[in-house]
Amino acid sequence: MVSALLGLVLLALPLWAQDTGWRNPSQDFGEFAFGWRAYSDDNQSAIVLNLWEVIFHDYWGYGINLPPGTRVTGIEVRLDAWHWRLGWELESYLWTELSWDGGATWTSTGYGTGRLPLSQTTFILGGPSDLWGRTEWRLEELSDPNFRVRVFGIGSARLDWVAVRVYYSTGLALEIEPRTVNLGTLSFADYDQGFSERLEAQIIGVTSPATWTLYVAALQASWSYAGDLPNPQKPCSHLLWRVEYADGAVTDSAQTFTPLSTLDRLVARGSIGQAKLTLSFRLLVDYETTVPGTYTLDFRYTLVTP
Amino acid sequence: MRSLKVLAVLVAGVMGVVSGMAQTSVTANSTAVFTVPTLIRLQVNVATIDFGALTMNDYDLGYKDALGAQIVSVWSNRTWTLSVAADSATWTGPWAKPASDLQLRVASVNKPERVTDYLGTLTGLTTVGFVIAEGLPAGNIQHTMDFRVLVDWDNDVAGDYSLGFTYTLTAP
Repeated sequence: MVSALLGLVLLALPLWAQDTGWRNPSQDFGEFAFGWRAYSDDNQSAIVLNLWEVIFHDYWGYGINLPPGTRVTGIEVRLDAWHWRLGWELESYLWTELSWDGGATWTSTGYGTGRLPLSQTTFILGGPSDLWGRTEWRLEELSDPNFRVRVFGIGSARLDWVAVRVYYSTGLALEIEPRTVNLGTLSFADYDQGFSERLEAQIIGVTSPATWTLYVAALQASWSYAGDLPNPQKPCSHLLWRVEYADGAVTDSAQTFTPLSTLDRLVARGSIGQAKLTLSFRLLVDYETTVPGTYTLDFRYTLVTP
Repeated sequence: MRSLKVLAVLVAGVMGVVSGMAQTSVTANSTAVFTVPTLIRLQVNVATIDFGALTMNDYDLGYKDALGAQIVSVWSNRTWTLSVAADSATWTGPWAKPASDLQLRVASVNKPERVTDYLGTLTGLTTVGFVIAEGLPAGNIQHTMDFRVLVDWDNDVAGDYSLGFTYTLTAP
């Protein structure tokens, strides 16, 4: 009995994910009749009726207020719907897209029900790790009135409920895009200038439930070299970085080019919540340590909460 | 009741492990890469070495010098060799004056630490060519060149003479 309970608790530990539960909309606008009837799971339903053209209806006001420091991991939309038989054989379909800016822009990724059955059926669109084609959802993008669900429909259908469930993590998270900073192929202009730059080359996403500090350090003292010449032992300090832009919960950041070192260097500090840092890189180029070949340097970001 | 207490203690113990395991740091690795092709560049500050009009003194002396008349600059990101060759075996002019009557040498270099060897003695040009300097990867290595044209009363009749020659930079 005790060992069975322990097993369940431990199994849940690594997930760290939570969800909002199904949230009801509170506002709507569009081409469905009685759109408001799809606010909740009850015995009332909105009517989708257009046999020849696609029509749509927007729902919002889901009241999603996630705590600061939360990272959204997935979104689900629930449609409870069915084909409304009007006496002749037709097919009905519904599908959805999401907006994060009050309906100005919609996700390029959308999901549909397929052909609706004759009896009420629950369709779960999206998933716990599905961001609907986006790399991230910021908390304010889920708040009212920014977050919206657009339901498209054709045929004759009844729609009982348009609910939303958001999955999120409250743990510390660090995301990097892209992982590889490609500084390209050098030219004489780089030698003449003494350096080559890649501005805004990498974006770092931070989610933290507490104040945080981000460090960076090289994993080796010199670049790995592949070529037909002796290894010039180009030092890791020839790669410099700086924070070009800092958005969100950032209190200060290193905005001047700083040489990479095998010791941790402070990149930025911030408060509880989400932050986005855009980094630029500068490679020092000289004739002594930059001979023909291919160079690789691994480095590591460390996000720490006190 | 007793067994319930035991269970509560155990669950509390597990929750203690949970809070103790709360993440205080996370790491993410990244990689920087770049590629360097072989890059070499050669420049001369003047294309023509003009010895001007020769005088009797030049004939008596047997030559005329044009010291430091040209600067040859090299850029290379790998070891390099600079050579020179006459474009033809003889000068164009009143007679078939041999190309070897034009001699040159490297008078000085601005980055001696990047030049492993250079030709410091006046040497007559040939169509085969010869190496005048070798060096390590570096940029803007300036070779100041001295030139000498040999003249004698017997062969060098009055007229205009010219000889083309070409520098070649190679990075093996």
